[in-house]
Amino acid sequence: MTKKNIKTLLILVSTALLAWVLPWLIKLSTNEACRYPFTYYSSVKNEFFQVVKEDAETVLMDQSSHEYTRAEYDSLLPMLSYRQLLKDGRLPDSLNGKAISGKSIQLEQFYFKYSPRDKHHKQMDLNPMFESMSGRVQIESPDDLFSIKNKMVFIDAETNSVLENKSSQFHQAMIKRGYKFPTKMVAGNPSTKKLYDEGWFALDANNQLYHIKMVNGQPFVKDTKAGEKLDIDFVKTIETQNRRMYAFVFDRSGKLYYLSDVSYEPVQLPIDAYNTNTDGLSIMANPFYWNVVVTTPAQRITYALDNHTLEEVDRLTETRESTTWEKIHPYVFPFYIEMKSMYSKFVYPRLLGWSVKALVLNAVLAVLLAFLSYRRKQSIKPLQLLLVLCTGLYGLIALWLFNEKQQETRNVIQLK
Amino acid sequence: MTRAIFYKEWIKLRWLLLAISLVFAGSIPYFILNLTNKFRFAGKPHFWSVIVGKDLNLISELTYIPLLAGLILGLAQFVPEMQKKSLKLTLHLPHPEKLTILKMLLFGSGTLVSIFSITGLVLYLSLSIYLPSQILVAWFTAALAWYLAGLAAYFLAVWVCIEPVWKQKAINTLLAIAVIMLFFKGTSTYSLQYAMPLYIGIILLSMCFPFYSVFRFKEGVQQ
Repeated sequence: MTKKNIKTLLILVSTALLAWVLPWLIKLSTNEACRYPFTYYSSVKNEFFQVVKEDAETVLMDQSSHEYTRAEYDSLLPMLSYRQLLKDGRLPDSLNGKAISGKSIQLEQFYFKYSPRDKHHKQMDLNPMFESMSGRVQIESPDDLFSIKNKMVFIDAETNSVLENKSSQFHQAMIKRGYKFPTKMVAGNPSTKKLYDEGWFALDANNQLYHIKMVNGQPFVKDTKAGEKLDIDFVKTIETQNRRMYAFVFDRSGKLYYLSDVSYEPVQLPIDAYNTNTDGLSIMANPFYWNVVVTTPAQRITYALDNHTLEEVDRLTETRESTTWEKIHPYVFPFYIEMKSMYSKFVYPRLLGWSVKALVLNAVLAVLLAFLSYRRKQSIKPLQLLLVLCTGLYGLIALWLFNEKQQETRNVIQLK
Repeated sequence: MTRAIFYKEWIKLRWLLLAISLVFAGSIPYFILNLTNKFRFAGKPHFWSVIVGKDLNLISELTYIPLLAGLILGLAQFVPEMQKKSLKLTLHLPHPEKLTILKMLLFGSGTLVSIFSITGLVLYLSLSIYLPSQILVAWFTAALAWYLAGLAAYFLAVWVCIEPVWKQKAINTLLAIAVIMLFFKGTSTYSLQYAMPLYIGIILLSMCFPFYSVFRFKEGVQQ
């Protein structure tokens, strides 16, 4: 290995490092909060209302920018503010011809949230299998945890050993129902602070979705058949007061379903194609409407869906303004490297933001390099020009960092 | 000559290597006591659930220890060589220069890898008495990045140390800091699992960097 080879390596490594560090520093100094206003569909006025933050002030307004007081806002969004209305004694007895009460609202209310980070991360392959029919109000934590990746195995925490009987009982029940290991994913709520327990939903090696839980100490394993109807991408479970659904299921064609309590029937939500890798989702449901909020990298669409028919009643599309970084980077950097992503918990280098527009600056920098080399009476090296042409500022700075000629020239000057 | 070089390095570094070994070996009973203490307070089943639910890593106190070990070893091995100008003598030994430096680096990195792997293995086996492999594999996946950071820090410290020009030394230090930062980007136990090939690549590349400084040192590049 010659000195020249190592220097080339150092320049290339420095270029890559600068492609990560420089954009990161610029983003750090120009980052702007990009928040969409909170939006909720009014079941009184049948239109979207928003909470807009203007400087330090919070403005409550409708779509025609008419501003409301807090009390008016509560009255116009009774499904959101029903607890306040109950406290003030202002909750109406009926709305849109339907009798309402605190309890009836609570029964139909749920909140669901999905982020691409839910899919792009890895957890330890250990989960608690609760007793689903314990008869107790409070769900009790078991003394063992199960691993489901290659085999159904229960491990006792006290002895740190496999519970052979329980493991074999569950494993056999799963095999008997046609479950194929290894498990692709498992979805469920490991918390004891939930309304009820419905165990776990596991996607087997054949992409079939199984419902696995423990009932009276015995395994309950059922093929939901959802895997036959859908090409399942991701599953996230939910507990609702009315037990209307088990989980939300995203399929690979960008459709979103909920898994109904009736024979695990997938019910499709009428929203535009959904990308589980980049789009965030939140659903706020009430007895009249589901507020489905889909946030893509470029825009946010808020759908109001009828609670019973799930038909689209209204939608509000808002486009996000580009940040300073998004505006400048295509002209300055031909690409950049990110180690972290807002869409994934995994850390690895990602080459992003490819831009041809930056070639103009790169060409100018390459000419500058050639000019400086000429003035310093150094030979113009085509490979160095190519590096600057392809990587722009990153390559130019890397070349400067390891420019030996400059040091030697200075030595001569100092010696004189 | 190989034995002579290794012996010279051993004489120079034996107390430091002993100290590093003691820190790593001493961390093993500490981690076990810490774990059993938490088991006593919270109960094993509950604490297992906490570990899994909150993605808790009880060996995370180890995070910067391999980095410090690599850094100190690299500096301790080459700062005396630079201060006493003995590197000049070393390079004049009747032995190929590159091989001499390579053997010095092999001694440093080899002892570091031995300490990391032996203490890491003993820690894994000791913890496996109390915890299942599902938890330990997750913890040690995160810890692997810290151990690799220690190894990278060793080579980068040597690279900076041998560099004869102070301005270049400062540039190298900044680049080395940027490289080391890459190893500490993890937020959860498995978040660095796809970055391992990058880390191994960085270590292989950073093994070559000290030779660049050696070439410059030999050429007599000065401020």
